Amino acid sequence: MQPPLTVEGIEIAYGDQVLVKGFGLHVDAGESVALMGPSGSGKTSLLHCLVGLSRPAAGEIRIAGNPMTGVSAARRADARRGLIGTAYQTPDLLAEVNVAENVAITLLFEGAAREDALAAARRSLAAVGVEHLAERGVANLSGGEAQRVSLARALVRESMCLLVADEPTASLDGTNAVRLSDLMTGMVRERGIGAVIATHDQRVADRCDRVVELRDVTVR
Amino acid sequence: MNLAIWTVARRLALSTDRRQRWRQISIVAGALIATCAVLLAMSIIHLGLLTSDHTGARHPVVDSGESRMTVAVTGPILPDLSQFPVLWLDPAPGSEDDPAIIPPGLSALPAPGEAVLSPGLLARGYTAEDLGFAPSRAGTGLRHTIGDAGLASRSEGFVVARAPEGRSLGEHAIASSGFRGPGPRYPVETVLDVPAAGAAIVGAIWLLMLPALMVLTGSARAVSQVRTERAETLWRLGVRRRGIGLLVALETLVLATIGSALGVLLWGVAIAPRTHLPGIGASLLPGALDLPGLAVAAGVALVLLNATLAALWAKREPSRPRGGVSVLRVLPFAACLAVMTLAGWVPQLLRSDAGYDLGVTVLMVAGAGATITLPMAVPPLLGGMATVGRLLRQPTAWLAGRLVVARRSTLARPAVMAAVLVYLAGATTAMIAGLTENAPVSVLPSAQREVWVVTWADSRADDIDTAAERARQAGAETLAVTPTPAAEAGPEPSDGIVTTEDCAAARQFFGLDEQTMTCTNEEAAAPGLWFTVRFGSAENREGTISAAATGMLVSAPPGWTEADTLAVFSGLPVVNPWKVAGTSDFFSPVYDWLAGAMIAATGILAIGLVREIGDRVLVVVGERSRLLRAGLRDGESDWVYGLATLLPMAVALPLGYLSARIFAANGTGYAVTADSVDIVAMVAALVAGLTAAVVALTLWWQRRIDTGRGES
Ligand SMILES: Nc1ncnc2c1ncn2[C@@H]1O[C@H](COP(=O)(O)OP(=O)(O)OP(=O)(O)O)[C@@H](O)[C@H]1O
Ligand SMILES: [Mg+2]
Repeated sequence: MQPPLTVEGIEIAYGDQVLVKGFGLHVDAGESVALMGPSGSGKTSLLHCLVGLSRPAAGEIRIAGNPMTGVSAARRADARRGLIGTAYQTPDLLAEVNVAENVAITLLFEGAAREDALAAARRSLAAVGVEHLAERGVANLSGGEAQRVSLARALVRESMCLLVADEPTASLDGTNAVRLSDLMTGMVRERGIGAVIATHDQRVADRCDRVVELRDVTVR
Repeated sequence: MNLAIWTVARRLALSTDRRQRWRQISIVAGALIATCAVLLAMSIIHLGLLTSDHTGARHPVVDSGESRMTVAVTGPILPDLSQFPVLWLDPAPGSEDDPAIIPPGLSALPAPGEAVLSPGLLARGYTAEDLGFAPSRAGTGLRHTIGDAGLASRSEGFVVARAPEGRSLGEHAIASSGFRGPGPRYPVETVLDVPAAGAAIVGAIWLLMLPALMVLTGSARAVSQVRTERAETLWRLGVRRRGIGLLVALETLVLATIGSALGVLLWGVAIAPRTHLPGIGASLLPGALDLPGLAVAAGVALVLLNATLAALWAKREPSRPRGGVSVLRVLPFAACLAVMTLAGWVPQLLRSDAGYDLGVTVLMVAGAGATITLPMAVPPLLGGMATVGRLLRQPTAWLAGRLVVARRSTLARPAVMAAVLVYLAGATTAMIAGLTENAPVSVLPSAQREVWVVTWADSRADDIDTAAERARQAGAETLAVTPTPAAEAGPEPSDGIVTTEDCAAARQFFGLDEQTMTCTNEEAAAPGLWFTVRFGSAENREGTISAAATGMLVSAPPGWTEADTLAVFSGLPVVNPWKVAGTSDFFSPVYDWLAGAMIAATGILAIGLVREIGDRVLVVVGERSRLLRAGLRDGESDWVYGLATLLPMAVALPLGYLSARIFAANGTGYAVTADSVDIVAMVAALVAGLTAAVVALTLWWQRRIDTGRGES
């Protein structure tokens, strides 16, 4: 089986400013990697490359063997949707539809039958422990609840093999941050997928299998 | 605190932050357009009041008691002027020098047989002699024309003529006490080339003011992230709601004042001093479009108040999605449609002539009312969109439907602008079509001859011979008309009997071909020709030229105008030519004004529509990333937002179309409109297509920018 993520010799630059150079990373199945580094070191930029929202200046990225570099934007979008689940600091839920529909949204847009998509959403919500919120609107969810729903959305797809999270706990208090990290790493292990979690929080990093500092490049 | 808020408001208004740019442009341009449109509307109302004032003053007072003169009115038609009134006066013996009978714009009564022409006639090259009169120097205007006090415009046709020596104005003339004092007045007007008060007020408010204020209302709500952030920060810092309201009001006021000031300047330079408006043929009286300072101030105050209130109202609207919008908000619009429908029935209901004017007024007021109430009616009707989206069983439609329902107030705005655009374009088109369809003059088309029937008053035995001889010398043929004896009168109306030698002569005289004019052994007939055309010998025809004749047919080669015909009858009183066959020279000068109003209304609303779509695009740019982060693709999110913008159109455009159709259908009875289904539908389709194209284009453009950024 292909590893969830392999990164080789990545270089990220904005104009003349080279942010990341010669960066490599290998994430195994069931493994959660914490991505740390000072503010402005390029964590978010790197994650954008991983999910194919932008292209690195050089280097190679593969998600479960599928190249994310040197392919068209459409191919990257397919991989992003099929293979990657994402969670961000702000949960970015759509206020116009309810919790279950939020989780099921990409399935719905792929033409899955409504009932099947909503059932998958409920399973995913159950896995992160918030099945009872399924029919609620998103406007009045607490921060922790919203993050869990966001995580359920990231994990809803059976085919996904990499979780990419950018400071998912930044807006949560200590207890909730720890709980969510446990939940993420537990799910990753259970489903045998990989995870890259950018964070400033040492307690989150402690719960991951490995910590990668973005400063010391060429870590492998 | 107030000073602090003022400082923040001013800084915010004039901020150099690029995210505030759209709002700045929106409000300044919106206030500029609105100020110009409102002041132009007021100028046109001023013009209308002036018109009604001046025309009212030249209508003689009908008087049965103290009669100082008799009056009569004829309405000749000239090719470059359409129809214009000739006011014939005949002072009663002893009243010749009474100042009460001097019409406005004249310093004295013209001498017998003389006439004073309007400057509009003179400008088109006509002299008194051309129209069969002797020139008079009684006019107070330039080159002895009628002075401004007796004119609706400098370009209109109008003649004041005095009865020839020894002739009266006939038994149908009206007794009058002059041009001063109270009492009912005898109408003189035919077709004016400037609007009178009623039309000016309704037209200017409906087609200029309302669209402009609607666009301004949208502009004042223009999105600005900077302002939202600033207000939120202040709120968190503990500034009260009232204080934030004040901030919003002041910020809007600063921007709107800049726009308004530019608007006043533009109006003052480009409109107020003018005597011509672009696209409109009429030459106005000097100062007709100028306004007193107080009126200008009131117009500006209206614009600023509208902008400020709209901005405050927008702030009160929750930005977060919320539940129901009351269905009651549909009622005012429904009421306007109902009243419009009812307006068509007013004359039948009242069974009087007063019903006509009342009906037209009700129709116009309800028509204007529908313009204001239509925007209110759309958001509640969008509630059904969620169901439509779900029924389409299509995720894009489903999500777009949800977006529409959750944000119906904001998403309705571009649709509402488009709907009002369709409505006003449709309503004005129907009115313009009504002008041609309901033209009061019908002429049998002929390319060979120009044929008139001419009548006059106080006929003398040799009038016919004199006129016939003059016509012959000028190159025209004539036939005397005798009235149809009551015994011979059939079910069809008859304008009298004429006698020609034979069928060929009749066809030649009227310039009609065999298909149009059909003959029996005794008579010739043509559809639309109400004369009985008989065949008879020359002696027979001589015989008819007698005291029995009531009028005369004049048949002239092409190129003759009604002026040439008038000249033939020079010296006769109340000469009234009416074209029977040939080319029709009648046109409605109102056409210019309606077309101008339509272009102004649709132009203003089109700007508003583009601006509202611009607002949408800004919001979408902000929200697009929301959908992308939720896992949707570029194309999918474009479709969702495209549909969310277009779905409300599917509700609003039919409403606009329906309103235009109801207006058109109920105006036909008053000859105000023609119910032109095709044109209104075409306008609606055009607007819908245009909007879809603009939405598609902006999304595509936005995506190109996004992609470009992503690939950098
Ligand atoms: N589109 C861009 N164009 C130019 N510079 C950019 C762009 N995006 C990010 N940068 C710059 O690149 C650097 C790294 O940004 P990035 O967001 O990746 O940092 P980060 O490690 O995620 O920081 P933080 O911990 O604060 O989130 C910053 O200096 C940022 O200003
Ligand atoms: Mg970051």
